[in-house]
Amino acid sequence: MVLWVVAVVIYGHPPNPVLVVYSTAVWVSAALLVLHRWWSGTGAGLSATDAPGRLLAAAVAALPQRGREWGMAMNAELTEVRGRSARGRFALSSVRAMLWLPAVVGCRLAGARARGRGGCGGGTGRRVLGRRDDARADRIHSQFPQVLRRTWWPG
Amino acid sequence: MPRRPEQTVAVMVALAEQPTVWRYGYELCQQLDLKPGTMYPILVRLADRGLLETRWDTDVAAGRPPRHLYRLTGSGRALAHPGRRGPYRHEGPRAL
Repeated sequence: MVLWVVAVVIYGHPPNPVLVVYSTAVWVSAALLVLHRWWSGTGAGLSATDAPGRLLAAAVAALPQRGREWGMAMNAELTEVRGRSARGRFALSSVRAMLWLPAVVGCRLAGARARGRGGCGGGTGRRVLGRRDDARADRIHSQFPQVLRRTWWPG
Repeated sequence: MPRRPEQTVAVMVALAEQPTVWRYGYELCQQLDLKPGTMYPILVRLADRGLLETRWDTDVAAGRPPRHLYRLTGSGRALAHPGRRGPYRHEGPRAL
């Protein structure tokens, strides 16, 4: 219809009916394809295909081995979260937790070394972490921009 | 990340409500209205200190990843209910 009106206004005569049918079919097919893609994205495989799922999967991949279990736990919970915005909030909040995970998980190891100095409790936080744990936590933090890049521009 | 003891206590109390039941992380987030960014560091610390036991729930729908389950250990239950002595026993509501 739009093409018809545009053709009449610009050229002063109606367009070829075959061209109208063809262009309408192309646009309808494209719209159906987008709808199908969007609709199938709300199912069980959403965590693997949508942006929150990719963000979380990339963040888990960037975690060191001993923190990865917790990252996988958060990733698995994301599959239960419904709604695009809720999933986005869950993923962002989980990534925030993952950024602190090396320091949190490192507490136990560092606590063994720092026994008698108060462990990780009472706000001693990173002070009791060993140099290696600090380096690992910093490395994870420095990988964060790469994680974002891989998430939003995969491949 | 600032630590808020009342949130840790809330998580322990929520887990202690049904001490033998394994709970999901997202379920706890919804119950306590906590974001995962707050909940999971708490769970990690509780597990590291031996107050929380974890296991993977492999009984999930096909194509879905196994989910992590949580419940308090004996020490965790004792901490959540400091009045109790010895091995944990669920006694139900106490008569006044």
